[in-house]
Amino acid sequence: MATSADVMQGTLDLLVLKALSLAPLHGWGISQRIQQLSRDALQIGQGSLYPALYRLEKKGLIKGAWATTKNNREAKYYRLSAAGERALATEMKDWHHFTSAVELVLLAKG
Amino acid sequence: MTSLPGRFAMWLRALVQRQRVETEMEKEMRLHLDLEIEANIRAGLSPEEARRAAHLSFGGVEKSKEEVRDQRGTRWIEHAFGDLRFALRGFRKSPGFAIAVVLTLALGIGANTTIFSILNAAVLRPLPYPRPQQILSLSLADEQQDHGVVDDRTLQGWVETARSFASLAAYGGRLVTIGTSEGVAQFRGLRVTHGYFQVLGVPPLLGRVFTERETERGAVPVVVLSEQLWRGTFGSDSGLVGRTIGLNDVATTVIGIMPASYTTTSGTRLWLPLDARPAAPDLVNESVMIFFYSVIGRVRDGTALDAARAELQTIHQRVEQPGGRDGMQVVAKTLHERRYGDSRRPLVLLQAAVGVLLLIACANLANLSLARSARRQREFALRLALGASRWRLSQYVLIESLMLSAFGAMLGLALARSSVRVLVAMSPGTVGNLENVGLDGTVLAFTLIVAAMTGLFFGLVPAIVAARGDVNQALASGSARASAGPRQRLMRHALIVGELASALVFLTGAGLVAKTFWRVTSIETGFRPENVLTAHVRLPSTRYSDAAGDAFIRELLARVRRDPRVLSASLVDVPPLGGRAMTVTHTDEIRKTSTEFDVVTADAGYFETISATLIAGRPIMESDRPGTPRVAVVSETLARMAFAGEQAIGKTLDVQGGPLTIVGVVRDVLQRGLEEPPMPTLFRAMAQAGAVNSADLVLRTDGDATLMQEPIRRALLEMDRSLLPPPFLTMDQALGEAMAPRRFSLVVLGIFALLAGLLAVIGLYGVLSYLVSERTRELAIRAALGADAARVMRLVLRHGMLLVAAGTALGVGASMLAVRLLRSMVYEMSVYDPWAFASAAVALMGVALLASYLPARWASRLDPLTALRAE
Repeated sequence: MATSADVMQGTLDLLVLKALSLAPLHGWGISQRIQQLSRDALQIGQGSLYPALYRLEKKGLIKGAWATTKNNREAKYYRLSAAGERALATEMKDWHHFTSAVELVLLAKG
Repeated sequence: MTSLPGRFAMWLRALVQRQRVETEMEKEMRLHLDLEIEANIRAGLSPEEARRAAHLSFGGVEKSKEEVRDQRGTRWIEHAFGDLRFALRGFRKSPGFAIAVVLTLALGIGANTTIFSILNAAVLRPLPYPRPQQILSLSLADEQQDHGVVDDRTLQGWVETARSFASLAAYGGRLVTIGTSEGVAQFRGLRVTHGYFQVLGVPPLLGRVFTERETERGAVPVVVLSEQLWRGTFGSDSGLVGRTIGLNDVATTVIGIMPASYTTTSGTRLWLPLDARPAAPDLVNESVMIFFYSVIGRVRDGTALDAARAELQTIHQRVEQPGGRDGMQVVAKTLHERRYGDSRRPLVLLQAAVGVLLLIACANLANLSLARSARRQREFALRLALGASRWRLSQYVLIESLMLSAFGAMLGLALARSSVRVLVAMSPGTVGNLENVGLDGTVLAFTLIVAAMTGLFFGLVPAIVAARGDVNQALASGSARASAGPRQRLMRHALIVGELASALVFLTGAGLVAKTFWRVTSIETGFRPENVLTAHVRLPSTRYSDAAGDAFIRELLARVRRDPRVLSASLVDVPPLGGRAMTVTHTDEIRKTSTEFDVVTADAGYFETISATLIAGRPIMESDRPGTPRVAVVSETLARMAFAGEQAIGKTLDVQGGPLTIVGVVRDVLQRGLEEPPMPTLFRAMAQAGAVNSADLVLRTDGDATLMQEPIRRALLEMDRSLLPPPFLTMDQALGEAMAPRRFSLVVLGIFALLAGLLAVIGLYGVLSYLVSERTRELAIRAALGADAARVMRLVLRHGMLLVAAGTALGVGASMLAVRLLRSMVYEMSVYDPWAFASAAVALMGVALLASYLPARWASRLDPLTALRAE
């Protein structure tokens, strides 16, 4: 049974993968995207993004590369790897199963 | 999903390029914050508020950084390196401790590595032959001893009928000279029967080995060379096989080369054929020449050693033995045991001893470490208070000791490298002839393990103490030094008592060996060795007939006698302690007894030259010549054994070619060895024994006998330019060599005793000094209250002597048990010799008293005011 911290970690990873599925982004861009997609409902502690990014890059699910932004600043852009795309698909399926099961339990009468 | 190389690459990068990775992380987070701030400003906040808001939504920057660092997986290595750097800094500030530890460890680990290299080469490594456990070394033994050799008749019987052996071979050593382009050089060779190479089973590097034909008497001369000889003297000449070389002035064909790994002892460099078949009996003189050989054999696959031995015993008893040689037991040992069996036990003992020495050293180091960590309680307490985990603290202490251990091991290896060479050169027996001793993989692995275990051992105790430190107590107590708890003190005292006991055991052992050595040096040798020189002169039989050689040697003798420095000179076939040349059996028909005796052939003036004592009759004189009656002088043991109390003079004994009349009796001269009981010996006149072209020139000078070496060399060259200089040996050297094993054990045990004693005493000094420094306050108060210096001193001394007494008591008990191991090493005395025990105890107590005196003196000199103030 995953602890709440693990769940948080796992959820964050999933959000990051999803955010990157549309286009490569740098760290701040990812946090903006997640905010945007959740219509401001999710405000993750932005600092916790970076350990997650490192973890995901280590696992090989995302790839990072340094490039210059429009304003000539150096930023590290991340994109999904092939493995990452597969992982995203699997995680999303698992997530749906999980939440459906929980809903089923919560909506049961008696 | 996860790519292993990818993960590893990232991990490695984080480790190796740490600074770059940190900078990148800093850049990323900085950019993030900047962008957030800009977004906030665009949203209408003031720059100040924008910054604050950005930091709020980011969360703690340092915290994030730490979390990222945790993700890298390199923390533990970074910690370890940090600890190492910190430890190094600490040692550089107070090098005393580090130096003491590294030196102690270098000695301890180095000693262990040295002994282990020898143990590995001699005992652990198998012989370099295929299936070496099948190779047996065979010999005959009677109740007194194992003779180490087999007679030719028994050997013939074995070769012809033994079925349990796939092959049997005989061998004997020989020095040969080889003519090369640079001149003449001398090498050690082995004469072997044709089965020799089959027994050992190693194929030649080049060419082939002897056929049976080639080992028969009168065959065309052939030789097999060793790879070392081939490379060294003949420059790896590939065309050498098939060519002839000049060997002992005989044109000999080289038929093969054996690989270098083939020879492990005795420096054999070439092999010559040997015909070991018994000679036909000389019917005219009714005498029989018996030759003895060293024999090895390889048992057939599947044959048990016992069955093989039993078969050989049966055959031996069946074979007809002139002179009643039956009743001998066949001894079958594996070749490994024959070569190194004698060394196995001493080497293992030696290894155990160095191990104990290392333990003593570790005990000392543990003590030192404990004292040091007691002094660092405050520092540890601070670190704990600042958030370090106890585990990390112990980790740090362990890393410290492992690091010191590593340095000690490296230094120890360097020491071992040179010590091994010295030790092997000094060693008696086969160990002294080992060729491939070195620091190979096994030895290095051993050193690594020893170093790691040592580091853990003496680091463990302080590590536990550090982890258990009570923060409050340490910080609260005013002094920088927290006093050690009672358990710590007990541990330290126990360690010291143990060390003292071990030192006593070594000292006792050394005392026993010393007394034995002294005994051996006072053995009655039967001759006086001072200023006596022997030169072994051998003339090549190709250029000198027996008569010509005899004349040559006599001319040389005459020249030597003319030198004013020479008091007397003579000739002999085998000098004292030189072994034996010929053994004959005399059977007394009447009493039905048979006596075996050695025959030494000596010229006139021999007894005078070696200062043997004549008991009765006369010595061999110039007047004993080929025409006159054949005479002999016997040793008193022979006279007693052959004639049982009757007067020996006038009686006869049969030796090779007829009866010899005994004209004199001489006190026993030790011929075969120093510690064996003297063998009955008969001395016959060289002039009457037939011409020979080799003999030992023996001479006594009035001063240093080695001064005669140059004149003799020159005389030889003058007489024949092509002769090699003869091997010289002074009688003192011969005696020295005979005593070499004893001296060796004395030196080794002496060094051990010294080291162990030194370590124990240093430990005692350390403990007592620490005790004094701990109780400085108390002692200072006592002094202030009027206790005089003497009383304070007595206090400390009493503490010291209590420890020593406990150590001595324990040590005596341990020695009682330990000396049993030395039973085989003492000569004609009991291992429970009271002198050795007593002198060891006295020595230890005396030195320990000295070690206690210094701290005691320091304590009595304490100035109460300064002591109390300096807290």
